Amino acid sequence: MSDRICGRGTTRAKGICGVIEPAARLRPQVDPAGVRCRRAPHGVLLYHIATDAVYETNQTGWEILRQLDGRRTAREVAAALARRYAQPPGAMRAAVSRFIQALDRRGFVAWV
Amino acid sequence: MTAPPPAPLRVSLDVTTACDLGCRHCRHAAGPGPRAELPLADIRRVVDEAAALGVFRLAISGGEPLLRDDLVTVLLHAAQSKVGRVFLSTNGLRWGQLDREPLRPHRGRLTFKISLDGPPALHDRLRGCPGAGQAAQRAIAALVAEGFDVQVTTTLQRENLEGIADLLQWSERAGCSRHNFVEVVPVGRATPDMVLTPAERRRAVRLLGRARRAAGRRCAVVAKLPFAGGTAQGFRCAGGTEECGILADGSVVGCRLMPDLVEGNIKERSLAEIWSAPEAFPLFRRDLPGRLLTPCNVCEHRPSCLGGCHAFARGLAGSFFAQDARCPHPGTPVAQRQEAPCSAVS
Repeated sequence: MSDRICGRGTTRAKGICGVIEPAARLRPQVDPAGVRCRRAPHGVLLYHIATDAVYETNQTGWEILRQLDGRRTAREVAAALARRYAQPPGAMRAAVSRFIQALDRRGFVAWV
Repeated sequence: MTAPPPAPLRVSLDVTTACDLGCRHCRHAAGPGPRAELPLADIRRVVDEAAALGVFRLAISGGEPLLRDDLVTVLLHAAQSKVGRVFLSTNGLRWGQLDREPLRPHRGRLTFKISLDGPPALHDRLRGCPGAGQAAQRAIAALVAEGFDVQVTTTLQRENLEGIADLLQWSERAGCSRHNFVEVVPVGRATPDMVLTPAERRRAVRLLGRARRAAGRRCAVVAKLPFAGGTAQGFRCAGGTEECGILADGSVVGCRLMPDLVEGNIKERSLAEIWSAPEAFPLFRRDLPGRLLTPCNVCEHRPSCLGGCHAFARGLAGSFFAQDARCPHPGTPVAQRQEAPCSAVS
């Protein structure tokens, strides 16, 4: 699993765009019912229905997105992925944090 | 032969050619008179096909869609389908006749895009109908109050440039989620003399920037002004590759601004068949950028902009492959210039 997460997209959302601290207690959630997904040449194309935002991500991003179920913090998601793919936890945490911020800017993420 | 692109991200569906306004800049030359309308059964089918393809955005347009008696049924069917989000473009004149009650549960997936070109008197003049401006404003206010997502669309013309800031503030106060600014494209009823001059475009960009800074942050501002930043970046024709249009007679086109470039008809073949046919949309998929005319054919930006808007080029210069007149690059190949005008663009 690559530790690099690529993405590009458009947005009209002005959601929270804060740094995700490791100790943050809020849990990021992406509501599957609010997102449409389809394959793209280099990964997956995501569409957030509520904000009309389109975002393209690679398989790594897709993998993270599926973990954002509102039951785990960003840190816990990163830790689980780091274990699963035998990656350094610090690097994975930074990658997950960046990806969640990118999604958050586009309105994909709810914090619960 | 290259493989067809993945399914369209956006599909525009013209449900009628009839319109109760006579906008002088109408891209489709819609108006009163004999109308073409897609039967409801065909609309239902093509919406389902679009949903099965994974279309994110379905834009229902016309003509004036509210002139259809069964529009609520159309909207309901679209909102209940697997299409991502449904947009309804309307002039708002007949909003009171739309039964919105059944649409309420679908407010999260439905956006009204209402045209407003300026203060009511100016709007009426540009749209050729007394009372149209006030009706549009009333429609916007009522729909926002009922919790619907409402966007305003303004067609920039030399008569309404100076009112951009006021218009944007009005949208903001009214509670619109977004204000779209678009340009006159010389197709349909719009004539080349209505196109903004370069100086007017620069003025529009300055005014938009100022208005955006002065306005609050609740209403997003989207200005579709290709090449306005002085470079080719940020604009690329998506016709036939990321989006397509379905006209009121069922014709499928790469771009609704070029209704004569028909690829098939949904009454004869499914949308998926038309979209993924190997020979479909040849001008968009096969001939670009190779057949672009001078200076685009030698321009270093050709891969990124693909020549700009081909409907605009066709309207002004008569050729799909001509240069978009708004492009800031002069007719000299970049390689021959002493100084590249926008070397930052790769």
